[in-house]
Amino acid sequence: MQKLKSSHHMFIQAFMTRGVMNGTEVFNLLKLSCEKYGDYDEASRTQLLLDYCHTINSNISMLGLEIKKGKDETNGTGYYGLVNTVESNITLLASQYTENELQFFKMLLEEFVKSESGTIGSIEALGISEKIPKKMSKTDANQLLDRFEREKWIGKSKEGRMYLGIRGVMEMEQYIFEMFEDFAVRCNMCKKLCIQGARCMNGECETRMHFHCAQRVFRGKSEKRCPECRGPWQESSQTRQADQVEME
Amino acid sequence: MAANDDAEFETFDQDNDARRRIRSHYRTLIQDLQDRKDDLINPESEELEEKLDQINEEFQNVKRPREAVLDSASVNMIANIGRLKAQALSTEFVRFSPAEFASRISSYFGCRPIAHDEEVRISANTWAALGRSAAPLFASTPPLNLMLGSFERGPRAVRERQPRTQRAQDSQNQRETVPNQLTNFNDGDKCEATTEEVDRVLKILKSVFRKRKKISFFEFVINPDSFGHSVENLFYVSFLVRDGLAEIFIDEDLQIPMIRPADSGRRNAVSEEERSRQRRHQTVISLTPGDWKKLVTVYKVRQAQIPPRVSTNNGNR
Repeated sequence: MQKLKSSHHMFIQAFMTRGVMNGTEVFNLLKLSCEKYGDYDEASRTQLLLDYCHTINSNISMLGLEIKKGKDETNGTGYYGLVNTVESNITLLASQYTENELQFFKMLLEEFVKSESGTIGSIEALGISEKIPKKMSKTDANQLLDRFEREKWIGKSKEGRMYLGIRGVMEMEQYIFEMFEDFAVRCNMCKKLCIQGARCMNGECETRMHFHCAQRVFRGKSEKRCPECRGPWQESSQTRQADQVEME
Repeated sequence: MAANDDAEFETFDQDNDARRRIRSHYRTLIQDLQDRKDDLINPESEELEEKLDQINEEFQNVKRPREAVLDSASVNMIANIGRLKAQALSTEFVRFSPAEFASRISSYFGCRPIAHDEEVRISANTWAALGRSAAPLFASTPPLNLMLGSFERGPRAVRERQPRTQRAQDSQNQRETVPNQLTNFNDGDKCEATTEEVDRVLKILKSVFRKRKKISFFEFVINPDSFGHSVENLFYVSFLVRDGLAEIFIDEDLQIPMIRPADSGRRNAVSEEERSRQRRHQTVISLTPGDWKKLVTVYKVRQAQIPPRVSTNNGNR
């Protein structure tokens, strides 16, 4: 197992501060870390990034941490994030949120997964403050939601709907599959957790795909047909959002 | 890792004499710290650091918990004395003056030094540069923010599979009537103003009904000029419905909600006992400003059918 150099340390610390970063930010970070401590070759940067992630992951896996790749459900942008992968007595102590706030998040997760569209309105989200063991005022709940949003656990659309953000999806994916077995769905195309996505309009068929995955599948096809049952596929303005962004 | 384990195992059987010596060293040190506390607090002297160095050296020989406990007790004492030393440090002549701080910042970055009371703009880049130059002084490591594993899992969510038959677009109409909670049923001796207003609305309803026979509920209730008024009107109408003085129903032809006074062939106000014997139907109507605007457009409400009352002693108009 290759040992970590200072450039690796800098890379990891940036992830510890920021949680998730998109493709551009990650490559910038890579360039900074390498140039400061070692050598950097622009041409082979993709391979360099892979090597970095691989080396780092093999060193930090014993701590239950991992640098993972994921895609934002709303627009398909690729992100890299440092996530925790184990639950233990130590992780119970490790959070900067109070127990009550974490209960709030737990219920919020439940709402996201159980909702039809994967999003909930802001009033519903605030309503969760009534359901947690120790009630929270609406102002506090609002601030908590803002804090979750800043740290990218949840996201907010411009219509004010809230959804599980990229970091939340990457870190809680396994948890969601295990805790909400009956509700959680896999994307037909990429096989990962799909909370926000388009679905087959056929009543019997449960097939779903991420908006960006569906856009790939239906590229160039005039008619949208479900890949499983050939039934009609959901038409929605959401698919146009995925048109704009491409993962590098 | 393996090599270290072996080494520890070897020295685990430390000579009892050696251990006794270590322990007595620590005890002397601790005694000394207690006796000479006042000397050590003096900010001028370096002795406290020397004591700490001594303890660090001694710790190299420590192999067992018993000695380690003594070590931690002495370090604890040093920490406390250190705190007292810091408090004793006199900062009388070094005070923080915001004005001076500001002028130093601006001169540090090449802007002209500020005279007293002057205002100077500092660009965002300059602030960023200030941050960058101050950063090395705060050698902080970022904390690790976890979410997974930070809370107990709790019971799993199971559900009885409901067949998902129609996934058609949900009808917009359903949004308005959602069966929910109990609305407040006691008047008590609350504002007589409300009762007055309710009476007024009832009178208006009756007179409009005499003229028109068919009144669309929303056209009646909505005031196109004021959202607040519309909500108030809804509020008063709800009292009428509760007391059985008005009825809301869906017109068969038009498929929209209508309202009419209840004494058109029916009984008058429902008494308290009768009300409790009946089965209660409850509805919560929610109206957001957005909804209100849409209703004004859709129903083409041009003029409020319930004219707003002249404000009396209510200050919030």
